[in-house]
Amino acid sequence: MLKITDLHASIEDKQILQGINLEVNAGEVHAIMGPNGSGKSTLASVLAGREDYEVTNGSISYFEKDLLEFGPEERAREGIFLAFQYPVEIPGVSTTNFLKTALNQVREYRGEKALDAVSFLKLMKEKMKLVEIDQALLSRSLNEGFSGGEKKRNEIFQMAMLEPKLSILDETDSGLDIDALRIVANGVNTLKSKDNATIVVTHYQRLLDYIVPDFVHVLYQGQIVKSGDKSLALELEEKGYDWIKEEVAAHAL
Amino acid sequence: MEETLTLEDVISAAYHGSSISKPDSILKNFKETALSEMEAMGLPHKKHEEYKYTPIRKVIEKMLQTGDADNEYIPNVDVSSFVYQVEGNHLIFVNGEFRPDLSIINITDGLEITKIDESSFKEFGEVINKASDQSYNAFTAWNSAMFQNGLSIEVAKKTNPAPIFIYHFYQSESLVLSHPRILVSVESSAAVDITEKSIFTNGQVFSNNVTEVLLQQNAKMSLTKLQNHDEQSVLHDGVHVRQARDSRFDINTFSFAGKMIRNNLNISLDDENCETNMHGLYLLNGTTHVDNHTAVDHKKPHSLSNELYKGIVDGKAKAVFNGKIFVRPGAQQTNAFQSNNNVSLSEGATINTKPQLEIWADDVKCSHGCTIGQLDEEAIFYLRARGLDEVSAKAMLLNAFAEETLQNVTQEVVNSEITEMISNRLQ
Repeated sequence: MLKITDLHASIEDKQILQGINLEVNAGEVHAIMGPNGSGKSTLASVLAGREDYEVTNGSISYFEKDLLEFGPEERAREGIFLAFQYPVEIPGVSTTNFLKTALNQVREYRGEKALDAVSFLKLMKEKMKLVEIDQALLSRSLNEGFSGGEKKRNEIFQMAMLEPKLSILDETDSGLDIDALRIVANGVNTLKSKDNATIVVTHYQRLLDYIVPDFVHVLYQGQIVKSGDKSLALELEEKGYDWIKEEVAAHAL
Repeated sequence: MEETLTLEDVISAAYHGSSISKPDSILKNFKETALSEMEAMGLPHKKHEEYKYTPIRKVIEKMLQTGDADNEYIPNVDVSSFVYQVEGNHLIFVNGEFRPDLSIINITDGLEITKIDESSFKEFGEVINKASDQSYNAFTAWNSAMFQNGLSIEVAKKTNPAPIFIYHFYQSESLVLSHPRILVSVESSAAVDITEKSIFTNGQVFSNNVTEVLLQQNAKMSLTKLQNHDEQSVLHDGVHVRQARDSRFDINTFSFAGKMIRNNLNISLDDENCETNMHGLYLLNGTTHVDNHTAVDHKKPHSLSNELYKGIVDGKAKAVFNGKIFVRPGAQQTNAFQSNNNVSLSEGATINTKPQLEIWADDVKCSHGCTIGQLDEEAIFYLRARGLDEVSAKAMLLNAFAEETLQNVTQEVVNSEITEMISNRLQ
């Protein structure tokens, strides 16, 4: 599904990603872990098409297509979904309001018929249950005055509505209490299928208790320095990142 | 126009050459006083502080150079082509003159609608200039000298008449100089809802509008203005309001197009416990120039004024906002809030915004804020990341930005017309 090869990316002349290689197949859950500043969120942003970042080298192929050729909206329409670390607040625009337009633009791109108001509402009600989100919240200005948990649940709700093939969860666990975490994780797990894949970007292992990864990758200094199965996450939780840093330093010598 | 003549000379000559100055006119004294006041004050030059960013005098001079107004031309007005298809009183002005014969006036409970002319003028001698005297300037005086067939709306106490729609229709084969005069008097505990818009067909228009509003105790008035003008037209629009105790005045001003629009809004809160809500939206492109100068004068304690103007400025358009708030000594417990927020969509757009607060009382709550910014890039990215194309994402954000200014527009047909104009413009 996704093949990242030797990806280098920079922002304002600062090199952040320094040669990422990663392959993600349908049905898989990958966790990207790493200390602060290692480039985790940059990777998520580059995949979603944030224009602040410049890809200086390498390639991303997505279903055999060159992802870097696509703008953010085309990526979304091709089935990529980014759950934002800091979901933006938009005064005067409600989730319901923008999501209906977005979903219908996505459907049009995929050659599907636009949903009328009734079908949209029906779909919404069904997906709302998944993340235990209230309709009143979705009619309010997007994320304005939402709690941290409400913002993240709204992200997963949108993911459920758009039915992506590749979901990227950027620090979705940050700012969540244990109940919200469980609800969010439950939503993600329900949406999981053999046809889609998930990349979970996280600093802590705690989310991975609920969304169990098939692969764990450690990102450090803009590279994936270690990959393993879910036990790697547990090891990191126990020992921290210092031993990884030491390993990298030793290897460099 | 000869080089040596000033604009005031030209106006004076026009006055003396017109039928307005004929000797048997009852209005004559009033008008000649106004004319000499206009000449004495002079129409503001660019050096005039209040007109620094809006060279309207120059624009008028240029218009007058291109030709004379054709007073013989008889416009062909098809009222049915532009009035809102809703119940209410539809009042028609043609080239600045109130035309009861063309108006649709049929739900008059609580209303007295009168044409102000030679025969009726004596009834209005006490009322005219009462609201505008404190902000009296050369434009008001010019209007006083030149208006013919003004409109008076009187709302009887404790009534709530059907809504009023005022249409300024313009048509000429050359130049139109128009001076519509409107007096609104709302008696105690009465309420009235007025919408005003202009319809342009042919000709180059300069319109110097003066509206005076007197609100008595506990009276309420809502005024919505739609300024979607012809690209050759120039408007100077003075609205002067006096509010008595417990009264409420709401004004909503929507400016979309025109060569130049200058809105002077002056509100005097003469007694306690008044409420004033001023909302405005200017959505400009091309070379349109819109200037909103507002002033609210808190003279007595316990009043509230709330001002929100928003602007979206594209192309080479210019927007000017100046908001004055005066809180007089003794006007304690005043609440006065003002904000002016602008989004600039192009490098060629110009926005000048200036709050001006003069507060002479110590127990007050006043706030003001002006912002000029671009669209939030992060919000655009967020929406695009959900599949919205860039154009839709921007339009959605701008619509949301503009929407807040619509909340006091009570007439549904007007509200949806404005909503549609906004979304058409932002597509």
